[in-house]
Amino acid sequence: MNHEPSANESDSLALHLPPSPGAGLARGFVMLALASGVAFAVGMLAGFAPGMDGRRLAGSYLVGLIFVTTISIGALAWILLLHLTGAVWSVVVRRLLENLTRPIPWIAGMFIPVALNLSRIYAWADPSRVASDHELSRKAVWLNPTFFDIRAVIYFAAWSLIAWRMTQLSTQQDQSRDRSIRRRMVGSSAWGLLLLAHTASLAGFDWLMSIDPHWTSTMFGVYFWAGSILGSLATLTLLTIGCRSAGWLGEAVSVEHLHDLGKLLFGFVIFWAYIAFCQYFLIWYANFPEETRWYAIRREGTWNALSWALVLGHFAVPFLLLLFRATKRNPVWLALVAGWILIFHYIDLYWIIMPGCQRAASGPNWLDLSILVMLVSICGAIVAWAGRTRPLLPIGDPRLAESMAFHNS
Amino acid sequence: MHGHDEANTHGLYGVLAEYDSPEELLSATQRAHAAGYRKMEAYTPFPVDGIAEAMGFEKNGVAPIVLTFGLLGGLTGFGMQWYSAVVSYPLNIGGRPFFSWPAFIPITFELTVLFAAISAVVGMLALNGLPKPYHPIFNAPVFDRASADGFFLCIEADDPSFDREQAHRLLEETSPRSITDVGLTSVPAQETMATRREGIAR
Repeated sequence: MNHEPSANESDSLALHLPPSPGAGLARGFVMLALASGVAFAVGMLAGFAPGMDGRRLAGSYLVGLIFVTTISIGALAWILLLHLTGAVWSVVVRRLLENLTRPIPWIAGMFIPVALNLSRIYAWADPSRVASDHELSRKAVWLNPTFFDIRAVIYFAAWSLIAWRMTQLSTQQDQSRDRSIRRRMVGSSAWGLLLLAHTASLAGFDWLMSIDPHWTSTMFGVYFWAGSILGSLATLTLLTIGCRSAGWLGEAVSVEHLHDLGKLLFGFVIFWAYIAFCQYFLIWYANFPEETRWYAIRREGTWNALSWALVLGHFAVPFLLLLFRATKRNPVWLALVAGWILIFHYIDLYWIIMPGCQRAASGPNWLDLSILVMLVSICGAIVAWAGRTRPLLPIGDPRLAESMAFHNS
Repeated sequence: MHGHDEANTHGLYGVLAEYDSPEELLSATQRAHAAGYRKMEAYTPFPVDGIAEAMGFEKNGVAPIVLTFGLLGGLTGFGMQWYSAVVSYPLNIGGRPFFSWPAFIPITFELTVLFAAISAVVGMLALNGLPKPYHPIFNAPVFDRASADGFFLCIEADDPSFDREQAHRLLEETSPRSITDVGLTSVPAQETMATRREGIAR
């Protein structure tokens, strides 16, 4: 349908949006963050988790931090991708994606504890181990604390820049209704996606793969990406369904849009499984001890159980559920599947990071959860606060009415 | 030919009504569906939103076909590799067990996709009754407009509740541009049966 909306039409859309819920929601998230912080402190002092030494704690924090990072940079990737492909159906959820990228500069701040505790997580940051290990001293050109920190600053700066640029253009579009802004969004998306793809892959190599500095997988960047894209899509789906059922999006988002989100989730569940299997398969086939070791560790005890949980929970279950059209078109079922995927995105990161941060596999505990809730709540507060300042729909986008009328044929 | 119904013995395929706009076609279709007709077809120059639903169309049968053939493809891929590597011609490759299933996964995946994709195309064509070298609807001369500016509804004669007189009466009430009886074969006499409404011939 080629329905060209007028500026008046978009104005009336904005008028029909209910008042912004952001402030109260943000306050709720802040309370939750404080509560989980207190729970964490009490749990630590009471010796609630016996295996929780400094190394284990640093690992747990890293899992939570990477979890929120992947969701924000995944959302950023979606914005750029949808601009570049000229997708119309997704215009109604674009503002939510933009809000999801708002925590990026704050996450950079949350990265400081990791930077201060590098030697607890990364063997290459421990000078005595580097001195006694030829492989580590050979890799020290890239894997050394100073350069690592510089790179982290570059990554966060690049992501913040792209996120700021897309948000700024979108706000301008809201205010001026200038049709030429759309072209500038596409242009910025082009260089933005190039920059994001490279920095995010490198971040995956740096932050996750180098935990075991003897192990390399050239596919790891894609694996990191696949999880990020899927995790952020699941978050977007939850957020969209939540805002929709609360009435904050007016009538803009229909079952047709949910159906499309469901189709994309389905596709990226398969994409993740494809990439995860390819990485495993190549290493299994080549059968080099220094490569298979990474998987061999994860085939023992608790890690083996988590490996199988990933095969079933990260792939088989959502795959089978999302096969059905009815699942994708039912908000409750779709939200359940998206939440399920998000939980397994966390387990995936836990499975990647934790085996390198524990002497003996002690499995997840409640302190991991309190750290996760704390970090997610902080980011949730930022996203909710961002939702306060601008309408939850991109009211200046000339394609908004067309997007609202979208229909799967 | 379905001998059970009298209309067919007269060589009638259906009654075809022509409308000027998609809106008129849509409301006529809804009326025909409400009157109990199920075997009917709409023909339009471009896709019209909601016309399939108006005819009572709910779900196409492609999905179960694709699922079945996808599973079959996966089993075929896995089964063939298992048979050759374990049963028929076991080879020691790098000291691995004969039943090294990870090595079977890529082909299993590819055959799943191949079978599913081909069955989707072939199944869609089959369910649409394609390819169809002959279709009686083209016996109606007015039908030429279906690819230009005519919106057509055909109530087919093999509908269990079909009655020629009733179908004509129903379609008359929806004020179409024309109503034509469509023959199963291109007998010129069919044209004389067309009842044309005055002043609309172009």
